[in-house]
Amino acid sequence: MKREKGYTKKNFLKGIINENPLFVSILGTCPALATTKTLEAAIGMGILFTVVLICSSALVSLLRKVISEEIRTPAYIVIIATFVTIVKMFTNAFLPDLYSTLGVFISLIVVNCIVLGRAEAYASKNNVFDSFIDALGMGVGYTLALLSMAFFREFLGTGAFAFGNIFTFIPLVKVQIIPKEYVMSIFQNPAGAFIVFGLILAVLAFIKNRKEEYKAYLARQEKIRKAEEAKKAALATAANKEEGGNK
Amino acid sequence: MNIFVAFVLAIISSMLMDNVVLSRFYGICPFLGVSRKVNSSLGMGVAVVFVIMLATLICWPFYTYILVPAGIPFMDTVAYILVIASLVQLTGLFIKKYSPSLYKSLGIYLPLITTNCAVLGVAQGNTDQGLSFLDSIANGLGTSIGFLLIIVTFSCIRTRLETANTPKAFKGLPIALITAAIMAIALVGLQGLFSGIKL
Amino acid sequence: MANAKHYIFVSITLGSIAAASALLIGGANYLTREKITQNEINSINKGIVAIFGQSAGIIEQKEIANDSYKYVTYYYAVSKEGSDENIGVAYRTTGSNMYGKISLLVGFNLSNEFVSISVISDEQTYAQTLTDNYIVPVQDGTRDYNDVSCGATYGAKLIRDMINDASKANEAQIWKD
Repeated sequence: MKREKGYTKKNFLKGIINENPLFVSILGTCPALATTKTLEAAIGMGILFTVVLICSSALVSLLRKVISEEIRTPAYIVIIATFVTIVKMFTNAFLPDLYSTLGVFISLIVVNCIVLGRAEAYASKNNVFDSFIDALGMGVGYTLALLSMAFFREFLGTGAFAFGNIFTFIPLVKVQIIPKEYVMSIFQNPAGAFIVFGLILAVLAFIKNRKEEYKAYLARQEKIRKAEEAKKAALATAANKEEGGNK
Repeated sequence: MNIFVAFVLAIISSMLMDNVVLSRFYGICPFLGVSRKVNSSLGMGVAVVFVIMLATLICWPFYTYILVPAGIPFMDTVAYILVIASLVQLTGLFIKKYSPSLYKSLGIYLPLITTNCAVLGVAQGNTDQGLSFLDSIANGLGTSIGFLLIIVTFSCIRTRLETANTPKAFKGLPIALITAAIMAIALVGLQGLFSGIKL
Repeated sequence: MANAKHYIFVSITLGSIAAASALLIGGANYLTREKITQNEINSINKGIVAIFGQSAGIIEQKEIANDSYKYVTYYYAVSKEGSDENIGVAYRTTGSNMYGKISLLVGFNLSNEFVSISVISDEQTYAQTLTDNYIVPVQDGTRDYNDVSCGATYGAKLIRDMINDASKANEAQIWKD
């Protein structure tokens, strides 16, 4: 199979920017709202999610010739649920604080549309390596999206960044930036999650609109320039003709 | 404790104060995706009520009387998702056979329900939290009716928002999410409603 | 005939995937089980330290199955580390209501006064509200545990009942037999 150069890089980057699962495709919104109270929880969720996505994508891709059309969905669900359960057990054993913070949302990775969606749309048609890169890109993109939401929620809601509460193997660090009296605790509440998500989408839409407007502006300029050139050319030919007529 | 009062309180509580969408964040995908028209949101909501109730009625006994005695309670997530997926398939077939008109209006939402976290979330939550069978039913009923209530209300607001004069960047989802935030704040105000009732 | 073969193949694939997944999960369970039990013990030790301060440790424990104290499951005698001197007792209590189950450590000093509580697991629906408005103030001593109206009232009532149960059990000295 021949492939264009730089495909792997493009394949990896598309999950982060152009096809970001959270901000562009609006998939996997439940954990994005529920587990972004703090940066640490968001990192934890992102890592668990990425692990499940990579493992299930790779396995689905590996078995893509064995699994026939009729049993696709149940087979994928079983594969994903297996990895989720394994990840859940290891989290419970080695990071009990992360386990109790994320709670039922670890199990809910099973029904995260991104995992099943990537299995159906990409891994079932491509080879293991490509699926791995695709899953890695999507996972990293999703994690970054979670982090950007958690950044605003933790910063505005508690006025501080705290590390070490969930990942107990690193020392407890807490940097208070806004004094406690002035924080807006609504950003720690469910309502704050919706507001932050809505505002981020609005900013992204604003940037996209601006880009489109700029493109339209450029196109308009180009059109004007072309029209002017045509005019000039027409004038020139007319002048030429006149000159020729005079001669 | 008066069981009936407790049952009703549990339903109201999981329906409003602890609303499935606005404070537990289950089922956001259909909440945002299928709420553009009132009719489709009503169809989705009713289908979800149906599947959640069936899933609750099956998953809780399955966990308590099969998985736990067999010593494999850790297989719960796999078992639940399989139960839910086959339940959705069976419901689809059943409705298709006996009420084609209902299937026409509900059918397209059924496959979406498998990946609706509200269903798995309720089934998993019931056993994770150690609820009794009666409380599980109350939780399932309250959660699903809460979902129906919120998605229909939200779609009514959204149809009005379509024609409203919103800034260009906020058109569509962003303004819908801000609306959802305001609805969430309204429901937070109901917390502590039952403090006076003695149990 | 080809059709039948196809179906057999399909069901064998599905069956083997299911079997493989069960094996994998079983293996993961085998690997993590001990660690999870260890974590539980650790969390109880942490709870003891949170109630009685640094260097407190368990010197004696006993499982309690007494029907008249339905919440109390374990009894712990607590001492300062490195000495046998008793500084208090703690009870592990577990209870559940319509919003889920809670597991707590309830600590008493030697004159049978309630010291503090420590949460081992809280699966309540309103766990966060309960923690913010009830458990933390009770732990700080700024709230009487009998005052249960806090927004997550039923969880608070359950905790109050658990503390009262442990207190009664402590006064009756049920660990003695």
